[in-house]
Amino acid sequence: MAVFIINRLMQAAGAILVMSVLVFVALFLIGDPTAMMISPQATEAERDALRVAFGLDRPLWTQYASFLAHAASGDFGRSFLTGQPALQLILQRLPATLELVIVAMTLAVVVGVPLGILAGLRPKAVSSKAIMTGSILGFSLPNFWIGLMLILLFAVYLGVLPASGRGDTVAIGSLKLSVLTLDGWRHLALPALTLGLAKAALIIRVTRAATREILPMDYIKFARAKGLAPSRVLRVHLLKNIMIPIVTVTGLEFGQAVAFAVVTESVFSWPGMGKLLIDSIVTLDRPVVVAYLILVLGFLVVLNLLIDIAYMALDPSARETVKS
Amino acid sequence: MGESGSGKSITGFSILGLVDPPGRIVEGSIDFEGRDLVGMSEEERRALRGNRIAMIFQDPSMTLNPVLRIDTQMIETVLAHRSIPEAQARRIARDALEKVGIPSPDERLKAYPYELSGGMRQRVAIAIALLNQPRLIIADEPTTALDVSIQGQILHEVRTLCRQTGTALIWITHDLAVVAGLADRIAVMYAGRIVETGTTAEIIERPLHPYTRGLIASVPSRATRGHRLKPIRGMTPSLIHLPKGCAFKDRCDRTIAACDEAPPSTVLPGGRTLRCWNPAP
Repeated sequence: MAVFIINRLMQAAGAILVMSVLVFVALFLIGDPTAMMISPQATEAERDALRVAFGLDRPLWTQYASFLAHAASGDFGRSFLTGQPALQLILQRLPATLELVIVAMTLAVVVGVPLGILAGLRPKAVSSKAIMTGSILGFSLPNFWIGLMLILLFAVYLGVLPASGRGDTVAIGSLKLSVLTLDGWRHLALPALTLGLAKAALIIRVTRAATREILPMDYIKFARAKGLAPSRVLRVHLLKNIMIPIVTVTGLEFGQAVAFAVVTESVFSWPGMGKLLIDSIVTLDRPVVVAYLILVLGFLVVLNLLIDIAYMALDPSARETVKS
Repeated sequence: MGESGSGKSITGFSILGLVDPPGRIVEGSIDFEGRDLVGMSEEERRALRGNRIAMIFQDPSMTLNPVLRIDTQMIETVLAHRSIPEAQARRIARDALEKVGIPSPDERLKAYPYELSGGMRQRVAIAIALLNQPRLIIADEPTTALDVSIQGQILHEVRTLCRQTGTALIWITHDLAVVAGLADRIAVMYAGRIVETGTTAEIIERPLHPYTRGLIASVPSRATRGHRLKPIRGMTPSLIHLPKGCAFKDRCDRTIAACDEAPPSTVLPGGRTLRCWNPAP
């Protein structure tokens, strides 16, 4: 087990290194950040002075080497725009995103798994067909459109929920949370619903497919032949088996959502990391973009590792594969 | 006994009330301990399943739930039918494993199915069937998927256990050698119907139905050494397009005009039953 984890972490380090090179080079090619930082009337001499000040006149590889040396000690540079450390900027935004995504994914699982099982148990029932049609809508309608429609309905017509922002937050240490206030929940409702619906649609399909796959298995019939109550067959024998694909997909989707909840956060002006990324790309704020992508990659790698560990908890034969 | 597709397994599942939709029991009755299983409510049937009537499946690698430990799968079977403390259910499970010849049962209880061999898994399935001291065990070709040496052991053990407890055993098989050594009575199935029943000696030594005769003649034995085996000609008919009248008539060498009508099941002196217009002499 320990060997497995160490192995995976080393792979992850390699991936992050490659990623950092790619991002660094790509951003270098995109453009000159000083153009955004200085007034258009500035003379060429002033621009050069700025480039020298930021070290942008040096060859790319020396810039990269210096970045890498600093990054290794946790210093990802400062935002060109605000002068704040990039890492701090990102971490400040992290709670908002995590909060949104956790609520959205919880919603998606709570709604998606039961509906998926229902649709899998009676694939021909009208209710199942309705569920499946709903799920097709859920993941084929673009996220921003659903968001806008929800705003239109709940914020504009009905006027019951706010359309943007985080609302009141409660600070626990340096952590600011919306989920602890009623106003926060009111603000959270629409973005979480927008993000959650799309994820629920996917979880419904995965759950249904898994249910349909497991249901005809001999061990389900054997469980019934043992005289178990139908509820136990469902909750223990079926659920334990379909959890394996569901956990995998939920985990991956969670990672996706945390890393790139850009659309939802932009529509609802949710001050999370996705919004920060978009703003930083627009302003060519190179240190923030690089730091963000590297952090996100690290996060995804760790998340995948956690999924694999959860997988082993769920599937005893997977444990064996790792041991050998 | 019967070949693949003759309706053996579905008969077993019908007794348990586990026919998958769209299949269902249309008519007839299933008598068990003086009660008709067909008219029963689902809850009454559930109370019988795994309790009075147990079943052992064909493929031991698919019978046990891969993500649940053996103890979970055994204890739940006991608790589904008796309200006793879990510790007591565990002891019953442990004893059942010991009874079917599983070494160090306490450790095996904590194992997952993938940690056991095919023969061991089938023993566990048999132990599960025995847990609630059923009156009837339906064994659906339980040795087909196992090595020949393990087959013999399992056969022997199941027969001994059933003799000890007085449990009735329906052994579904296509293997004549297995039934000959195991059964008291044989029912031969063809195309969804029982065509002939009788004691094992009667069926093996004096088969009456041409199909049974064909089956027995197609088994190699010392007596037929040096001769070509005589297979039954033709193929099993599709159950959707059965021939009119007797389902076997197209493959039979004793067909007469009456065979265009479906033969009824007749009871012969001595309790044998037969479904044939022109039985073998």
